[in-house]
Amino acid sequence: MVKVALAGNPNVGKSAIFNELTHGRAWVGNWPGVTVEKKVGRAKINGLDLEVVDLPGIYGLTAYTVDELIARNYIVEEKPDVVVDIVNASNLERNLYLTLSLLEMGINLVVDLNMIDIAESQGYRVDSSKLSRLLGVPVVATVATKRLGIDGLRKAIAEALKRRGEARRIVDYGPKVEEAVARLQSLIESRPELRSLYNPRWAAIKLLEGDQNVEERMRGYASGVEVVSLAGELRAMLEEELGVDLESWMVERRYEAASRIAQACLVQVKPRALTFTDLVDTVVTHKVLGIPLALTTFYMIFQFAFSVSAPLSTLIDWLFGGLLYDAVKGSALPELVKSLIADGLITGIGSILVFLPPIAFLFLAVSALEDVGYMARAAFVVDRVMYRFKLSGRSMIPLILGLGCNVPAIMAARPIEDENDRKATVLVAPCISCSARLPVYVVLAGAFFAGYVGSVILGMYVLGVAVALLLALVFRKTLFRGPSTGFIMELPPYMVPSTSNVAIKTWERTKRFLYKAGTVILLGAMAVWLLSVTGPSGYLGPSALEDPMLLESSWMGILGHALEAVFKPMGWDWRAAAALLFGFVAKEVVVGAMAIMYGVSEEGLSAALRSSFTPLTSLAYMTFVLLYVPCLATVAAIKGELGWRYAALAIAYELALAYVAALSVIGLGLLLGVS
Amino acid sequence: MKACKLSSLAIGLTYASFAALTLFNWLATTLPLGLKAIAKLAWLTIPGDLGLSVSLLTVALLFLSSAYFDPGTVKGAASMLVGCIVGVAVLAMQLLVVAAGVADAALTCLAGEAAEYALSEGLLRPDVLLGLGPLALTPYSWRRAKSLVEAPQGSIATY
Repeated sequence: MVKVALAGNPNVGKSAIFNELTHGRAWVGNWPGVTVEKKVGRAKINGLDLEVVDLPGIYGLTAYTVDELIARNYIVEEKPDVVVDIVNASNLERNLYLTLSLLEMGINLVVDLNMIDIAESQGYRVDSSKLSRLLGVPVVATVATKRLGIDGLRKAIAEALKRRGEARRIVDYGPKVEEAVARLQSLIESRPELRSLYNPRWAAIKLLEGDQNVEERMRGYASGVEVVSLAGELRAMLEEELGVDLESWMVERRYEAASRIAQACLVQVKPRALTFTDLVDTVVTHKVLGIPLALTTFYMIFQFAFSVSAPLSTLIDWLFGGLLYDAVKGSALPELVKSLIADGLITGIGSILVFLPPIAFLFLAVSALEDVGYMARAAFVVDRVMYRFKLSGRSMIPLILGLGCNVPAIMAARPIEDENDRKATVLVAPCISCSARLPVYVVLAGAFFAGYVGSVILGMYVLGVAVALLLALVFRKTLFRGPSTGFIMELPPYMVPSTSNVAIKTWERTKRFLYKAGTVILLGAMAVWLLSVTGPSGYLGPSALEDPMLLESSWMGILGHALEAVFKPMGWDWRAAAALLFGFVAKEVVVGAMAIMYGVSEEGLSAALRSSFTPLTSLAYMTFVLLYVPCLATVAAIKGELGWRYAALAIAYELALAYVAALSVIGLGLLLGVS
Repeated sequence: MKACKLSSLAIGLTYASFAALTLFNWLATTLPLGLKAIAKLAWLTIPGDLGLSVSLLTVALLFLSSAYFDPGTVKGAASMLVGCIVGVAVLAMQLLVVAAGVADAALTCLAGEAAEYALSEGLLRPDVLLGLGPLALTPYSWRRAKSLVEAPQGSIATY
């Protein structure tokens, strides 16, 4: 299979190009060893079947960030036949840095000059022929959002497949460094085992920069040890002669080359005019207006997700709780099987699937706003707030990702260079309310705060963010002391979202929830059913689910009663307490467990909860669910990033915090006379 | 331009008043402060919703900012345009919520259960009625913004 990889800086329209080339025929997985999303698709060009891989958005090819390491490891190990470097024409100089880094690797490159419309609206155009001549690779122009130039890109890829890539010496590192590069290069070329690992010139450059990843791989060979040792000597010698850190010096030379090429290819066609993006940003990124605007946007996202999706949830509940449940209960199956399917699987899964519409609508709104270019602005606006909590602005991206799922949020903290910032971000990320906690809020807010569901749920999200920021401040002042680093972020121009892009993104994100519903949640529902129909006296039968006295003698009843005393100050009954246990497996299971234990469907659950909770105790329960122990997958992610010590710390502090917070809600409510 | 400035000021002040009313109702219904919520103002339903209050306040701030900077300036035109977009978005969202409420009630009835939905309460709200102001101003604010900016005009043919 012919492999084509798409590379480029973040926000250059890579996803749009990917979708155009593959026509949405794509699947999402993870890159080996990490939970960074890997998108692979199929395309057909000139009768050839291509595998198109969307590499993570990167600025260079260092080994410092996980995304850059993934991209270069893919290029080195998978050896794609063609790499398409998508360059933002309206920010040529910055984007060319990556192009030069890719060319140094000696790959078969095609440069896609995207967003030429934005560049022209800024008053200049790029001389693509000159750029092609200077870089020595084909350059094609596109406007991916308007589907312009895609055929030209396909042709360029087809042409590129007929030739082989070669390393180009575009960046001149100066006589002394070039001499050292040549010496190392010839040594690598003379060793066949090393020659096949990397492009020799690129490897020589990386060794002089002190790239640990390349050094490690080289040391795996006896001849490589000699090369690494020589590189170390040369680096020390050059640093002494030049009086600078050699890596920084080489990076600067690359930036100089990128700047020189960009200046040579940019043609000013008219004075830079005010763009639509400039105009709107005077308000959207304004330090006073930006914050209420962000809050309003989030409020509308929640209204859209929870109120507008309601009929679809009703439909799913009717299908599961009504039609399917009745059909199984009325069938001629043995009583045990009927109960397992109807009371366990259908009730458990059905009570979770009703949350598919709000979750899909939430992802739809977020994906559309990402494509419009607003989410980056929201992060920018909120960054000012983050800084006050001694958290780097870089922590904003992981925390925003946490709204979907805490696991990728924790993994996304990896690029944070400051170790103290990274550790604090990883530890507080589970406080951000992920989509798995939504079902609990929806059920309880729907039961006790009808008419204000959106506001109550938004309140829980705000509380999660507030707690995360306060904890970050505490961690940064105690466990991880040190100054905060700055935050640089590129704001993409505003664009009309592409329907296919938004649809694909929404589906990819929603698919994960569906997968979880079919695996972890299914198993969780079965476990709850089993623990409810069995007890110390053996099999109690399905009637345990309808008879409260019998249910209390089940394993679930015993477990719940054991926990009831702990949660007595909050006024939760044993069923609510037992359901919390299952949240440790996956937070989504809490509602499913409640539905099974109360012996009702999701619609009936709201009514059943009204007899067990009050508005105040329900608010305390939501607060507890927001803050208590992260799910197993999140604990594993924290362990992977920071080790067992910090994973245990996360579990301990979250449990204590959740308990204190829930108790405070009750105390405060009683003090104010709220019941 | 003066009429435009006055319209912005009027819309901004009206939104600010209703933002204060919804905030008052939220405080009255949430906290036991002894306040009596103003559920109706003439035939208009005033919800006690903090999120809605923030939304109305945002639109108010944007229109007041437009009046302050003058809609003829970049900042003024941008504030008016974003104010119109947010005002219309809040209106559209409430219409979607009403449509969803009606559909939900219909589905519940189809499933054989009793359901009701007060259409007037969903429609006769400040976010819906006040949204008509920004809706009427949207074409003007769009033209005003367009006259100040250059639209992206890249052509593949020139490359």
